[in-house]
Amino acid sequence: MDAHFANQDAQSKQYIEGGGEMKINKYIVPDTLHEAYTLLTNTNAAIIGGGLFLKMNDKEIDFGIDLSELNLSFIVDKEDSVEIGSYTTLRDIETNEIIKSMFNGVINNTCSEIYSIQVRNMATIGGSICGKFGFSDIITALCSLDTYLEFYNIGRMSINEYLKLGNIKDILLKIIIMKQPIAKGSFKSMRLTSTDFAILNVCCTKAENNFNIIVGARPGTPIRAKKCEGFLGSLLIIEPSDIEKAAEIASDEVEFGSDMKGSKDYRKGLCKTLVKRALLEVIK
Amino acid sequence: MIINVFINGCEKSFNIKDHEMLIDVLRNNGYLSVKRSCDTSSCGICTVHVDDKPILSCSYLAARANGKKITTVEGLQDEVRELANFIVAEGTEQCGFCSPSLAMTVIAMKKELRNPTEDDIRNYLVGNTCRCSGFQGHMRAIKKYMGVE
Repeated sequence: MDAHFANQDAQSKQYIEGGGEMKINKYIVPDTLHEAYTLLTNTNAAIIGGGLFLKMNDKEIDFGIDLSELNLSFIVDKEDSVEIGSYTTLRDIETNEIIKSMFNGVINNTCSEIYSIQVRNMATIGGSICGKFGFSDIITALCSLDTYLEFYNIGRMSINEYLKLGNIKDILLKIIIMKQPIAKGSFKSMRLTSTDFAILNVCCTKAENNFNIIVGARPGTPIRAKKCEGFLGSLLIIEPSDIEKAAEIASDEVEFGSDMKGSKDYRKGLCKTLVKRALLEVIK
Repeated sequence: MIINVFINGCEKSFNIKDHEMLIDVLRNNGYLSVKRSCDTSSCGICTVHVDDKPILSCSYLAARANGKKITTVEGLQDEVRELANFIVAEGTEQCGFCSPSLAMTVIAMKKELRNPTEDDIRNYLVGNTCRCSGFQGHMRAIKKYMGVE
């Protein structure tokens, strides 16, 4: 298991077994983004999103920064995109009609699979993204779309670029999802119980003849199955046998790992089934 | 730090540690309907309402509740009594430990969902655990409470 998977496994293990409780010496609610950013970059501080992971590590921080007074909870429908504030809860996203109209509700459907109503009323999309958790369902779904992140200091970048970066000290302001005409999406996952982390998750989107196929919780952060996408993009007409072959290509090209939730081989087998099911939905 | 909250319609001030969780503040101040179980946001037993939305008090920083409206079972006696009558009629109550949290979630569900299906109800309640029962009696009671066939 490579170092990347080892880190993701450690996160899952800590969550399940409990890692203590983060100690916050001072809880701050800044009035301005500048104040928040200065604190974040010049002190031993962390931004508190939904706060659900505070109990899962025993770090001590001098400042816990709460951004709730900075108007970062919003969903705005623009002409070519939808913008979601980083402090918007997953439940607000799940129930939003504007987002339901995009990619036949793939983002809403993804959110609805995450844990429980209570957790989704607390968890923020910003916290979910910035944690870069390997088991994250919402990151997988966002990677399958044309998604950008806008930060206070470094500005805008695609979510895929962000996932490749190391840890950065910046404030995520909003998530921008570009609209695409006649687009469909499907999110599939396998988990032991409905409130558990996914053993594997997959999100497929199709806009005109372009496919995006993302495999996550591998147990690493999501990656694209580019060969699979290329195969589907080369076909004029897609037959059922092509779907079978595409799913096989995806499961062969993606790198999997083993952890307490499942073995590498099990994930590989799951990938083929989940990709197939997702593709069958988006080509209807 | 001092936080000012509205608990069950009353304005209260508490002196808390900055990293203290809401469950500790509530229980230390007499709101004993709020139970602690898994302490890792898995079981739902600690469910309370913040600004009328069900959340997990074991994982919600008390500092974050500053200025907000908090509701526990103690503040919903009429609604809880109505639901309890349905639960008792189905003979579904056993140890009762999960009941306050289930009541909180069901009451929130009734305010939020219109004409839910049985699946909608199951999905809404997926974060509430009962170790004693198989949920069948609860489902019968809750469906009757929600007016669902």
